[in-house]
Amino acid sequence: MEINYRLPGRIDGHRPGAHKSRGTGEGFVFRHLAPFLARPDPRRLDLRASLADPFGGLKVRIQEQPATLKIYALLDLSGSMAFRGEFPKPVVMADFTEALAISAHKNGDSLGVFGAAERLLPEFCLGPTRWPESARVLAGRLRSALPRGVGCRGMLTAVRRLPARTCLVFLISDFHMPLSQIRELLAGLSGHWVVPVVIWDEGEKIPSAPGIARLIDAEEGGERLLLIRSGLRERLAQNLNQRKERLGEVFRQQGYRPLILDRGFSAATINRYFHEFH
Amino acid sequence: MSFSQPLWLWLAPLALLPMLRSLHHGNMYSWNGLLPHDPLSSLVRVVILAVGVMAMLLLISGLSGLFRGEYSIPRSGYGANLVLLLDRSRSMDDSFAGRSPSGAEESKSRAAVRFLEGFINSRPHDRLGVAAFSTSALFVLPLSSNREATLAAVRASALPGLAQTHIAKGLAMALSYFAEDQPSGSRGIVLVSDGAAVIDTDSEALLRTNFQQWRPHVYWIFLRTAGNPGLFDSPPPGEDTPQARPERHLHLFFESLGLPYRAYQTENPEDVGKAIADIDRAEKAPFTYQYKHPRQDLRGWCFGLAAMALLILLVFKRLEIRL
Amino acid sequence: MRGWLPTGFTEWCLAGALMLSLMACLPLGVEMQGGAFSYLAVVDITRSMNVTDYRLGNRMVSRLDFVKEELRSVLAQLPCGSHLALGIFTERNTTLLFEPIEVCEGFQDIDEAVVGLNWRMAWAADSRIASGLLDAFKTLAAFDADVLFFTDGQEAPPVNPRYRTRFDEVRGRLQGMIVGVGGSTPMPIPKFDDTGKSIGFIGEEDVPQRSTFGLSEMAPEDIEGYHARNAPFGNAPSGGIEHRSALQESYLIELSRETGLDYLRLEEGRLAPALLDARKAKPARVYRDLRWIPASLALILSVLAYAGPHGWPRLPGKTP
Repeated sequence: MEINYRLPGRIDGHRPGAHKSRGTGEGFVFRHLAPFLARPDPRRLDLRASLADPFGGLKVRIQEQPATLKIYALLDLSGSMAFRGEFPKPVVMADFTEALAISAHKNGDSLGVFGAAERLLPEFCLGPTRWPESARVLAGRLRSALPRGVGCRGMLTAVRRLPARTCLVFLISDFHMPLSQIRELLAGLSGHWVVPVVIWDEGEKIPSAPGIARLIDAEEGGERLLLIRSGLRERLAQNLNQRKERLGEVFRQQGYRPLILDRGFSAATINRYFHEFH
Repeated sequence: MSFSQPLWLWLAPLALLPMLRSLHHGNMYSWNGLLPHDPLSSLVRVVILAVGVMAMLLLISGLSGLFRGEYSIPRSGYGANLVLLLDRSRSMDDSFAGRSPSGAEESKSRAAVRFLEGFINSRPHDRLGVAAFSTSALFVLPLSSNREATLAAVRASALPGLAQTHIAKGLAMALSYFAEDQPSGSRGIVLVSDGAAVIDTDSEALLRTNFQQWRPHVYWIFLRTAGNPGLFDSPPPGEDTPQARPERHLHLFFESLGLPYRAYQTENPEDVGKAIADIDRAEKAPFTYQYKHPRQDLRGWCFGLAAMALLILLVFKRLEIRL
Repeated sequence: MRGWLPTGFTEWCLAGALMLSLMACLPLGVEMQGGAFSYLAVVDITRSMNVTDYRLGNRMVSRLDFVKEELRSVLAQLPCGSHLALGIFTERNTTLLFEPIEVCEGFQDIDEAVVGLNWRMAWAADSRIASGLLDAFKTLAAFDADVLFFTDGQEAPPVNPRYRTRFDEVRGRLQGMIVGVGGSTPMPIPKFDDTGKSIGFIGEEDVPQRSTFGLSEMAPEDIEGYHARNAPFGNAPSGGIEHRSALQESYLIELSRETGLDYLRLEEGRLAPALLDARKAKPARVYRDLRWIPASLALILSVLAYAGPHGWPRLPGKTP
């Protein structure tokens, strides 16, 4: 499983890597011509262009230098992520993190992970690394984890810890939080490329047989007693769709497009997302 | 509504339990903010809560012995409000012959009690009060529908007598029963005595006013002892004074009231029986009486309704789904 | 669809509670020999009972009123099946207003009759307590009930110890107790006119201060102004205290010893416990209801149904 993540723009990478960057160098992609004196490297002399120059000036070809990328996964580990319906959210998060680690390794990129609820959770944090092994261990922990935090203040802390230089940030959550908090998070991430990964579960639509269900909010602890029946289930589905649209709007306002995983981890869905991105 | 075993009521706080805990499995849900508002579900929740509290309260009420106290509702039948005014002077212990009863002889009080018992038992709808008098008036039992109580009071009047016959106090006492009770329907006073006494002028005026106010039917069973001149014979002029013939003058007083009045001059137990039978016939006017519902044990209702509440809870519990 | 049998702890509890509640609707009970009481309350209604030396709440009440209140409270506490008769005592007679009446059926009537007790029912002013007791032994022995004789022990006129009533013949025919009413300090006796209005207190000269019947117990030479025919008790002003009244406790205790009755001094709240003493219960067939057994089990199961382990999957809270 791999995630062929791609960027919508160029990065300022110093290390040669696999991504379009603003840096110039050994890459294959031609960017523009420059006077020889601007970059006195005889290997890059473009003879045809030099001959064509009416003033006889030497021209060199400026090639793009592909760069490496810092990738971060911000995992929301608040209570709502503990919901285990058809596709347990922690498992989806674990799959995603693991796939990301492998892909990053292949691309020579580094991956950092911040797991957070109302605070950062050190056992679900990982410094930037190129080695997928530690990410795999973290993913293993994640699979059996029972998130029980409240709120997303820890996510804001994580956002502040990100390097100033542009990174690719996967914001992985169900986004079951007030839109204002989401906006605050996104505002903190404005210098980065952000992929909001929305993990939902079909089980949240309560597809079971009719009956009485007592639902306890995983974070707030409040409870509701619902007489589940088809009419109510339709209205719940409507609510979820509306929520999805509202989330989409919030992300689009910041220039992001949500990656919605509501049927478990699916590499196809993810790669389609990145494909459509460009 | 009251409780016969109120100590159980200390358990009443248990009725809060259904508000604090739920019968239903708690499913963890990611965000209740996503759930639609649903009046029907809210209704179901309130119903389950209320039924749960009710089940607890009903069981505890039943254990506490909930009962509905005696209450009366008006019904119509045949009967009256009768005050039995019984003479308890010492002479009532004698026989009609005027001596201590011996052998098969019956004292006047025993004869009166015997027939009054039959009378009381034959009149299920009456409200009967009992008053007695000798030198003073005795408040014995208020107007009541409790047959057993009336019988107990009438029987007690056969106990040895007390002193003199002070009829005015007795009549005033009997009339006070109506003032106290303000009964609807017909009122009557059944006076059973073997003599009378002079009523002084003040008392007579007062009695007259009260008689006019309450307008009771008056029945006087006069137990005539041998040698007593009785109520009806006109004595020779000059002897016709209240002091000489108090019984006759009481009779004249009753007649002068202008109320339905019957005097029975009885000379043996059989006469007493006939007199009482006559009163029984006369006092069969249509009458709104108070039917007393006896104290009603509501425990059965409590437990039955609790069972229904538990059945509802069980149904709701079986409708439970788990995510 | 699940089967008809309950599944899970909560459902079993509810189903059990339901069955037990239904059981509690059935007439479950047993006939038992049990505690019902039978009392003949005889109340002294002579003048000295009008002395106000009891406190009820923050109000001074007469001995008679206090006795009435205590009797009413006993009446309210007697278990169903108990019987109470009410009698009065003046002069030398004891009589019943009514024979024993069942207290639950007849509560209202008995209560009103107790309230109706009044000193004006008295048919004589004298108060011969010993004779009254003797009379009670004669007339009340026929009832299978304990006698309660409420009196302050004030004999009026005072007894001449030479003419004491003898109880040897009747001792043991009647069970029960003498209840001493009144305070220990002699208090003035209120006086009323014919219409029942209070007109002050009884003066020294209004009551006989000593027995003037028969022969004095003192030797003639000790009596001031003794004259065998005209003044066998002397002619000195008596200077007595018989117009004041206190509880004659030693006299009543003596009477109780002679008659074989118990003695109890009436103070607030002491009567009911003494009368509801199980040892005084008459054997009577009492229906003992047993529905409380299934009902209380149903309650326990209902509580378990709610308190049981179905509750929270886990308590939401802070991250560990």
